[in-house]
Amino acid sequence: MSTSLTRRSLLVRGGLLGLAAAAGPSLIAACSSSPASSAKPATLSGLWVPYDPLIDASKAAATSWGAANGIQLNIATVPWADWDRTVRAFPQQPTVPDVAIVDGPALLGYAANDILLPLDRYFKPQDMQDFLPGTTPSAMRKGSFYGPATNESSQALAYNKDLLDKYGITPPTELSKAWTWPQLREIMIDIQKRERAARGNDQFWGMFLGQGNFIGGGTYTGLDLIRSKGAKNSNTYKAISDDGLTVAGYADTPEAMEGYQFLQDLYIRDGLTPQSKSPDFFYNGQIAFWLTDPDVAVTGIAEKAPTMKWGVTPHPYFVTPIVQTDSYHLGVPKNSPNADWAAKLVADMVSPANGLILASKQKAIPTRKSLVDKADYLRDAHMQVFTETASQWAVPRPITPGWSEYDTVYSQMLADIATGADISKTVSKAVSDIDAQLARYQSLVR
Amino acid sequence: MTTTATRRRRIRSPLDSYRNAVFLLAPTVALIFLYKYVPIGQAIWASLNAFSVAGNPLAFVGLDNFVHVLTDVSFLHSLMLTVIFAAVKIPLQLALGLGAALLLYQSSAFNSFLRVVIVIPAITPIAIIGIIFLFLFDREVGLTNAFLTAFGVGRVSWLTTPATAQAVVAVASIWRDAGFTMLIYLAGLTAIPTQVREAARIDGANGWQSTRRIILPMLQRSTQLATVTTTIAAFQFFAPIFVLTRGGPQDATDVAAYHIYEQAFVFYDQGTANAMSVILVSLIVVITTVELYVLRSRWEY
Repeated sequence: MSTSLTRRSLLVRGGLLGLAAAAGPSLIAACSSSPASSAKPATLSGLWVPYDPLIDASKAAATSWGAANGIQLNIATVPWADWDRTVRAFPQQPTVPDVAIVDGPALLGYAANDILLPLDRYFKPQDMQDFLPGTTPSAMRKGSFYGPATNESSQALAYNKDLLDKYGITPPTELSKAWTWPQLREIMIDIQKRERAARGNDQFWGMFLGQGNFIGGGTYTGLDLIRSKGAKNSNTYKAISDDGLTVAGYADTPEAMEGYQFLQDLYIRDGLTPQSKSPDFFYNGQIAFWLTDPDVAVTGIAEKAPTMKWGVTPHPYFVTPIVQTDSYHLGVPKNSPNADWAAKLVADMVSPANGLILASKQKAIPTRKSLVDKADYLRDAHMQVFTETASQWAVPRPITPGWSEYDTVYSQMLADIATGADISKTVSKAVSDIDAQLARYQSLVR
Repeated sequence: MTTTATRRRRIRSPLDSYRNAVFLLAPTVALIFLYKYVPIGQAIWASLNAFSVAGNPLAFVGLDNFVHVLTDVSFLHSLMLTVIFAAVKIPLQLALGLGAALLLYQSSAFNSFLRVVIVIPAITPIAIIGIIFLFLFDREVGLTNAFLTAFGVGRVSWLTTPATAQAVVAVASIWRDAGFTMLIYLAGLTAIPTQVREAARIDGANGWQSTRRIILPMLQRSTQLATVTTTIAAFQFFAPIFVLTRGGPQDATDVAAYHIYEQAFVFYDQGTANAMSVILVSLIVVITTVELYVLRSRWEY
């Protein structure tokens, strides 16, 4: 019997080969029962956000573990706009990174959706006690820990020192003497009026709120103002129900409504805050105060206004001092083929030795309490207020599995309020929209 | 006796063969099917299912998603905004494109330069156009307000007041696409036989009469193409809104395409987002079909 190789048979065989090649990885992945292979890989893949200080610090923190185990960490990045979507799609992907940077507030949602591996067995109780209090609540779900923070963030009021000296104003540096929002407002009104008169134009403002992502400060900065209206552990202070599924009765309390009115007055009635997203106003000397985080302030001013004399005073508040913190976390996708090795790497990257490298390379606050005193750069006058704030006033942003939904609607609500929308109608609609979105997570939470 | 015809062997082109034609077309058709029609089919199927927040299908729900979105005030609002936006964009863009084509039809170096200037926005990445408009219309540092305040006019909150934000995104859209419409009309003008224009001139028609009675009717096909492409662009308008307003202020620019994006990739409600997409695509198909019929050419030349 002879076998003839006709064109048709060639096409058929080629097609079958192609199909097999295309389907192979999926079939292999489907047949694999264990998410964590014990075979030692030569490399681990990492998916990071495109933020160079974090990437460089992460590589440095992974160096010693990589050398000891002969495993190299290769880092790729994903654009900011695609970040959350990419992480959410991990369970549907045939190949996923072994380690991924995840945003603290979004972590609970990833855990609830079974995207990340619980990492409890890679951390000792003393590790958990050593982590700063603002960094762990968002990473806990039903008693399991889903990933340590790379560092802790903080927020405080940076100010133009030359300008304030000119008007004889010396802001406090102790947290116990922090200004209240009404005090700050009076000071800003006075400075703005006199400075605009001196300059002969209206291109000077009292303050800039946040990092420039959102008018109104978004959930990171704007929400601080609203939550501080409530007494500690009141609904206003909590901002969301304990199960993270309801904002009605939390985001629309009478105190919160007063906070929204104050926020709107800052932008509209008093005109103390520019209706613009550009944070360059501070670098240009057009702003007296800037409510921001240490990364943006220290790095930004050093790059864009290196000769500026500036200082830092604690975050203003109404009733209860509160500063929302938390930062990027390290997570391990559940369907990573090297999950066990990846988890070991993550644990080592935030060990006392490497945790200091991870934070110091970014000039950020370390994620461990025990490292705060060891980071020399934190003794810098500019960093002290930020660091004390992280230790004493820090709380995580509202903990909810539907962070993307909450963040989007709430930030837009604050932006609308700040630019003059009817407060009652805007809050009512946003609360209704958020609750409708969060209701979809009920089965995952209860 | 043999004739030349019977002696001559017929030379067959490879394209004469039905089998070869199928063979050559198959890769393209397969790719179009795979990347165009399969996703459409998937979207229709997804619109009939409920999904978890993680994107996993939960259950077949039939038309429930359609009932939900058609009674959803925010989606109906976004559809209404889209229709209004299209109703503003289509006539303005066609008028600008036609006007520019008529003015710049004659060949000259200056006209060629102006044509390029008008077409450049059409080939500029749309996200960059969004950023350009952000710098133009920022309340505090935008060029527009810098110009206005120089003349003693107060600052306008262009992007944070509903009515002006809608106007800015409409201007951004029309400014970008008018050059493409001009190209369509320029191609149409080039195709009109010069004898027809000359005959009209010899018969005593003035410029307006010639344009109204001769040129515009003969541009019917161009008008049909420009209207259909502009309609589709208007209903799919997304990127400048993503950069400039994110659907705000107060949902004033929450057009259907942006609303669907948010539903799918911010709220992760795949069933609802796909139902909205099917409705939007159906609406585009219906409207463009009507346009194709109403604006059909009634003569050949």
